[in-house]
Amino acid sequence: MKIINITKVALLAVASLMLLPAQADYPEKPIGVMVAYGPGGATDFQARIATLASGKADLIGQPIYILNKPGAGGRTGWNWFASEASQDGYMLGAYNVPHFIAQSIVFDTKYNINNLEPIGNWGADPAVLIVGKDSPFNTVGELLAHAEANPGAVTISGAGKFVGHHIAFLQFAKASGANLTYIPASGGVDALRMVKAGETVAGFNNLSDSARSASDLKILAVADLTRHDYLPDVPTLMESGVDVDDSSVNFRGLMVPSGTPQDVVDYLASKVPAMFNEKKTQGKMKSTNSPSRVMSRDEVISMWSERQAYLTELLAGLK
Amino acid sequence: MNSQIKLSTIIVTLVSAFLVYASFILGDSENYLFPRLISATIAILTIMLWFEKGEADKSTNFKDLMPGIAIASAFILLLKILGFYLASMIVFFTLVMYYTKPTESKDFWRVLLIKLGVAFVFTFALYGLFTLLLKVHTPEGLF
Amino acid sequence: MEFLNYFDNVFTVYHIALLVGGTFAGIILGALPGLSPTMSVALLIPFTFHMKPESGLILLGAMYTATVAGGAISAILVNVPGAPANIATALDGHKMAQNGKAKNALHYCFISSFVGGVFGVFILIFFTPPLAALSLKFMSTELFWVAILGITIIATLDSKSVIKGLLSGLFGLMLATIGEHPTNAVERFVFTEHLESGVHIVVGLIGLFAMPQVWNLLENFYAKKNQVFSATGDATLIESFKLVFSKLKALSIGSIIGSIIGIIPGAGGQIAGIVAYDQSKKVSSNRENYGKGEPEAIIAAESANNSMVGPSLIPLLTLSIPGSPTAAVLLGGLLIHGIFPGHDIFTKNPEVIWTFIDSLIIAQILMLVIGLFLSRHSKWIMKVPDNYMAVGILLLAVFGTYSIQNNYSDVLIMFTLGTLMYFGSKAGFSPVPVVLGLILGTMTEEKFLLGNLIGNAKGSSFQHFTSGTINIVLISLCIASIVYGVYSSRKSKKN
Repeated sequence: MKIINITKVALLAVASLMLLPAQADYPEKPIGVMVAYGPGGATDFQARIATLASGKADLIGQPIYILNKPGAGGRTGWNWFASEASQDGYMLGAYNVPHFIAQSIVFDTKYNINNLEPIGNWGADPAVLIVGKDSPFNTVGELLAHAEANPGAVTISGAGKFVGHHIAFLQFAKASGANLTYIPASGGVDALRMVKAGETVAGFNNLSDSARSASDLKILAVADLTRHDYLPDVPTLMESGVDVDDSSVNFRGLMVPSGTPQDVVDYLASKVPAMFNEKKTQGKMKSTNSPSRVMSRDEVISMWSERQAYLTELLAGLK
Repeated sequence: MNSQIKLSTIIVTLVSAFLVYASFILGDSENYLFPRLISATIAILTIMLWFEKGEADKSTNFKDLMPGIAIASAFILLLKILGFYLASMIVFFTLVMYYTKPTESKDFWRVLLIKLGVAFVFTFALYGLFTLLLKVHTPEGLF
Repeated sequence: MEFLNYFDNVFTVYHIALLVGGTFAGIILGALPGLSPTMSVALLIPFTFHMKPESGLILLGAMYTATVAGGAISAILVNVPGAPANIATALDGHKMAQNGKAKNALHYCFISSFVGGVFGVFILIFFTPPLAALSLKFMSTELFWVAILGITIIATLDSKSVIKGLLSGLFGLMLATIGEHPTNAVERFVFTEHLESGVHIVVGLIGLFAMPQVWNLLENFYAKKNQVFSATGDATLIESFKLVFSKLKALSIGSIIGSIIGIIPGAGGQIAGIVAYDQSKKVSSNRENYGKGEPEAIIAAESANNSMVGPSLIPLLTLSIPGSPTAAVLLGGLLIHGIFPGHDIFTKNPEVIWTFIDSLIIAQILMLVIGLFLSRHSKWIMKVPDNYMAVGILLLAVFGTYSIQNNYSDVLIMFTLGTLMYFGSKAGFSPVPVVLGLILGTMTEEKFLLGNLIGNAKGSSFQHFTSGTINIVLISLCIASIVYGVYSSRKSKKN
């Protein structure tokens, strides 16, 4: 009888432990961040930099490790994150707006903005319109005049379909009314190569990568609402007379799957922006040419739903 | 043509027929241009394969192979449930216990202990290499 | 001769320790299936995070150099190439091992890797500006013809039957179309969610080579004494050096082809070994022995692999265009340290870049020394009993596969594909053309579609693909390769 009693007590103890709110002392072990791209890519290394300070006691208080799940343009990782990742706050995910929202609109994905909860945003990389350094075009106007005279002949490269560059292209084509041809390369690096080599007439690419290669390129305009610190002399598309807003800006940040306990979400939301803003982290972002823009959870929630509504409209009929 | 060549040719034919079906019926012409080209060529080559006089196939010793495939398949399916490392240790031990040469030591317990030990050490080495050194996070499963 | 000034930066205790450690670890990692150069460098990048830029780059460079050579060890000893680059080495290297000459094969492999590697680094040092300009001339249409050139060698690569060779290659091309469409992002042939991200090249490689080896060991477990071979060869170092340097033709073909392929942007690096193998076979007087354990074959393949390393950094450093998949990962490693590739990289960061390049030369030397040292101990691997060997390969294949994309579906793909391949090989199909098809499939389709889009925008797609010096040269090479293939298969039938 005694043995049975001991077993009972042990079972009760275990059961009560399980009933206790696990998040009471969250976080008690290292936290993962799922990146839907391979190691060495921009999202991957920015995620590593942005989470550098997480171990500090006044920030998250636990180190963060990166889990790369690349494939199918990010869909493999995000699908896994929404359907299989643990919902206890020990697995965060990195998002890429507008890319991941556009994909969830066009394709049949397991994730969408309704089963994910944003935590905070660390970076914003606008798309820029670039031409090769030997190109005859020096302004957006000259490029569009050429496109008007030769419908379809102006080719514009970007890092594939439904990424920020593609959104920028669609907006640009719509607003200017010009007949342009989009060339979906297999990634930002290859899209940039096409412009440098003169294979395509122009291209939309990341501001950070283009600013780095400024000696091989001419940067005509930024697809954002304001000019960027890195390129103070480059006008926005709006200044150049084409009505394109900031919908194509590539926002990067952290999220958790829906179903994560509210107090864990609140805890992370209160600590993560401070982690992104930490001095050393910001220094490292700057020295690697990664444009930083820290946003709180509430700001990201409204940014996501704005993009969702706008992209649904823009991509209607496109597939 | 011997029966095994016939069998393998039939299998290749079936596979290519499926590929042709999948690329022509399931897909649209814009996105399936390449698969169609490839599958059509595969289909033509399969027809040529029927008339090719080749060497005889190597025979398969299913009696010795099948238990291995069965154990390994079970391992692959159990990976996510038991966790990578526990499943690895079990499959290591099971395979080396099942495949035992008659020349090995007759002392059953000694052999068992040695094999258990090697399975443990090998799994631990995998853990050291992948989890500790390369920081690869494998699914944990039960444990 | 600016590069000579920075050698003392390499010869600090810390950097030499990094080089020795990185080279040793690189050879071992490279030999494990799944931990290809690309994977190993990618896994290492986070470790370099807190290092100084030049220290981090030295470690990454040593890793890149050593893993490329290390992949040959498993190719030779167990017929499982560590990376796509080592497929050609497995063809003759494993045959040599079966003939009781594993040690000789390893010697040839490391010596020719060293020669090719140093050749490649010197190309990088002396010819960077002109070759960077050349690299930029390889656009979608040129890359398409490069891929087609690779496809033309599929049929005659490793099959007794041309039809079966072609079928295997086409099967590989078909595998490459699974998953995301290269330009339109729609999914194709995704019948189950496990196929969502397609068949990754290294996943395919592990499945097609490692799994058949597991099944082979188990199937014949009771039939033979011990599959692995008793003798490992009696080569002395001097004899091996003499032999390698007597095969100047194979050595120079390998080094030159490897260098050329290195500067071509994109997936090129992975096919350097196999293209060099094929070319040296075409001009060799020992043609008949290729595939049966011919040292020349190993020399050509391995010198090409390592000579590709240096030139693949040329477009990377000056244009931020990677010349191989590993160079693509290295780009991330550069950016993390705030080193931005560009024409001015040699004037802006001379210290870091020249130290890095100099360290590559030292890494080649260390790779040679450590490699030759390990060759002496290859007999230990040979002594592993078949049952332990089989389960060891199985577990490494599973872990290696999983670590590539942290994806369980890849493990299922690897296992299924490998088991199919085993039965396919019984019917005379070879895994080599399948892997080559898998590597070239995406490249062919993507470059064709992009070239077609651009060509149509310019007016005529056909003209776009057939004009330009490089295009015409490549098309002629394709035709020559096909004509030669037909001619030689006719000739061998007559004999």
